[in-house]
Amino acid sequence: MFACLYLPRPASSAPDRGKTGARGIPHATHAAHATYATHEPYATLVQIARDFSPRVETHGDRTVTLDISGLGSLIGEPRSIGEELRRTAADAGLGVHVAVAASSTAAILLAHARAGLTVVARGDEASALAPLPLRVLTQLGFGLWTLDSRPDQNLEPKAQNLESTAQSPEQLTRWGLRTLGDLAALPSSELSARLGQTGLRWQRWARGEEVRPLVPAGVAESFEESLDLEWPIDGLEPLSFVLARLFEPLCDRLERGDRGAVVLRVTLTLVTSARSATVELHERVVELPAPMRDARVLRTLALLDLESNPPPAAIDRVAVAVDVTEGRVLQFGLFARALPTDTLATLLARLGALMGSDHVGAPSLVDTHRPGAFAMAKFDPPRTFTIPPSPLPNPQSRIPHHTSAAVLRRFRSPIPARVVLEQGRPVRVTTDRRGCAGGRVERSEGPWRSSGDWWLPSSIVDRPESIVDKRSTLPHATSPWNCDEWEVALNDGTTYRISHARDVDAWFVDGMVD
Amino acid sequence: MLASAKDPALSERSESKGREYLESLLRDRKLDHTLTRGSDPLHPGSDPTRWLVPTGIAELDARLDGGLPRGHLSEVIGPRSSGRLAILVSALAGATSRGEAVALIDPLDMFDPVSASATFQGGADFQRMLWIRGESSCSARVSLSSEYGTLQKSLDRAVKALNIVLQAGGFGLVALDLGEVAAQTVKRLPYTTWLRLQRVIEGSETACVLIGSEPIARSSGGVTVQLTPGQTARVVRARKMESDDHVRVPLSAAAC
Repeated sequence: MFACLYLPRPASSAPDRGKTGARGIPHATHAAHATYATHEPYATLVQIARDFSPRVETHGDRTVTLDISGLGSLIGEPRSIGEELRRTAADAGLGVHVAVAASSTAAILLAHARAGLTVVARGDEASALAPLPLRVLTQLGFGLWTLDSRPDQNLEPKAQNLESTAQSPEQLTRWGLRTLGDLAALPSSELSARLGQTGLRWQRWARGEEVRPLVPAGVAESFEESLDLEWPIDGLEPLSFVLARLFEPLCDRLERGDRGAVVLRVTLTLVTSARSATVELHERVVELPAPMRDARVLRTLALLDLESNPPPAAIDRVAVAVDVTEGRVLQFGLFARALPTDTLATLLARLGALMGSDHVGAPSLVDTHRPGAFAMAKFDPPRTFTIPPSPLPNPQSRIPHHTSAAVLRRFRSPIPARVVLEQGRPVRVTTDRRGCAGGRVERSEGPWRSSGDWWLPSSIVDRPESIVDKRSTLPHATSPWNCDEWEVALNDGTTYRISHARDVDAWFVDGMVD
Repeated sequence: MLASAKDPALSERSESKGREYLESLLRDRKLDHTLTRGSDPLHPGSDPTRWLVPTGIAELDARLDGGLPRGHLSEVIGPRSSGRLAILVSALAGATSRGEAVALIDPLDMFDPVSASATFQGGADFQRMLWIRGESSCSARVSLSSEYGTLQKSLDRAVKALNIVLQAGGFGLVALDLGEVAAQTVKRLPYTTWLRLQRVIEGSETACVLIGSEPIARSSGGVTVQLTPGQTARVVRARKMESDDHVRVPLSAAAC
């Protein structure tokens, strides 16, 4: 059995067509619940319904349906339940229409059409609806339309149906129909032939047939926990115990609600002097790479963040809150080894705290000829694995295409060197750097000439920087370069990559082949 | 005893059974991984090559019976320009081309993605490679007293990072590049460091590789690939030393 509570509009208000957005399309009932809940009488109406049953569905901003099955043993007959609902609403200052029927469709129609309390016995829905005028369908277009769609359906494709819903009763009136009973009595096949599935849907509404099960609306829950400490704590170790105590119930609630945290907010109220009028807060926000609800992971991430940004004073009160999203379902491949997302997030956070967040990531190439240019990308290995076809070489790409298997150890700051040339080729390389003394060149390959960024503004080119800075290979380097690169094998067995900066006529050791 | 003494075949059979039983006991208790070398200790009958990480260099893989063993600490050692990094990058690229995540801990920030990109082709993917960079050093093998503290700190952080990565799991291959860190500095680390790391990866699907100029550490089931200046390699194991057949490691045109 279902009960419907309808809060009629004041006489001066527009008829109940529901809240509509652009192009007359109504907002989703469930998605817009939070907005409606700010409407105070409506929030009271929903709260009254929730006091009676946990299975409550909202339609528009004035209609609430609730499942009253099982209330019989507690309150009594359906009429008693309806009277109790009406009395409770009246006590809250709401003059509502109440209808009780075996189908939610019939309950909604009756609640909108009749004031006071209407109770229909099971099986009498069609006869109870029969005398109602067809314009009820127009008035309830929004409510019935939402009944006919699933909450997760996209609303855009339904716009056409809504327009036809709003216009249909006029069309049916031209057929000579006056009441829902007239519509219910029409042969379904003939109605379908003329109006299609839409006509059949109207007829099912007119007959009071259930079009879909009741979909309970979720409760807008805030996921926050806080703890006032008896004694102030100083340091992260005692704080970790407090955080564990806060995160465990929070994650239990996330688990029950099938929600995952995407943003973690930690607010620490710090100890201030007695004379200080303001409360000093230490707030940290951690954006999580994926929805998660593991208390241990959340605590670790919060602690790692606080380790990097410790509070300046002892802590009086700890509050944690999370922004939530729907839980996720992951499907890993059978053959690919995958890192769980929360494990990966913790790993990256821990490594970031240890090495610096800009020193942890995945290497990526930059489309330039600049020696040693690279960029760091976020490490997020793909979840799926497919063997890609061998890419064809792109003649337009400026990323160097090496054919040898030589891998370089590159000095991020090239080492200044002295190079002796014979017939234009290096024959001796020496440096002042310990461990990189150099020696006689036994074999050499090169030169490979490259230059770039000379088209940049002169203010950048002529800035007073050292030679080493001009040859900087850091990814953010923007100065021009013009160099010849060589690979030289020395008599000590080491193979170096050296370069001649042509602009400044200086030699550098860029790295060594290994 | 009397029967076995009289019947040599029976004696040999019972000895064989006893050996099998002993090996299975050791395998179950994970007391000696050299007995399970090349196969999954959890699934002894499985394909042994699935429990290995190929280096991608055919000759070397043949000497390694398929590749570097998972769940063990191995090392690639040799002087500069002997091909240590080439072997490592080849193994990293091969693992990513099979869809595995890999990690490289680079304490001195010397890895060059541009030169490595030649190896990371085909199905290999930098996206699956976690690169942990330390503080860049101005020179190789820093040993000046003024810079020693910085280097030691970098090394300590790198070992901690390695520990964190191995504990997280999920990586097919994890490498720590100590090729340009002075051997004396590495030796200052407590030896228990490597034992602890060995315990972390034991039984896991991660192969851990240390790159160095001198022997650092190797677990019982791990291998040592020792490279020489002539770009040849020999493989050293716990049970035998294969020193005769050297493997040539491809390097640059200048080096060869």
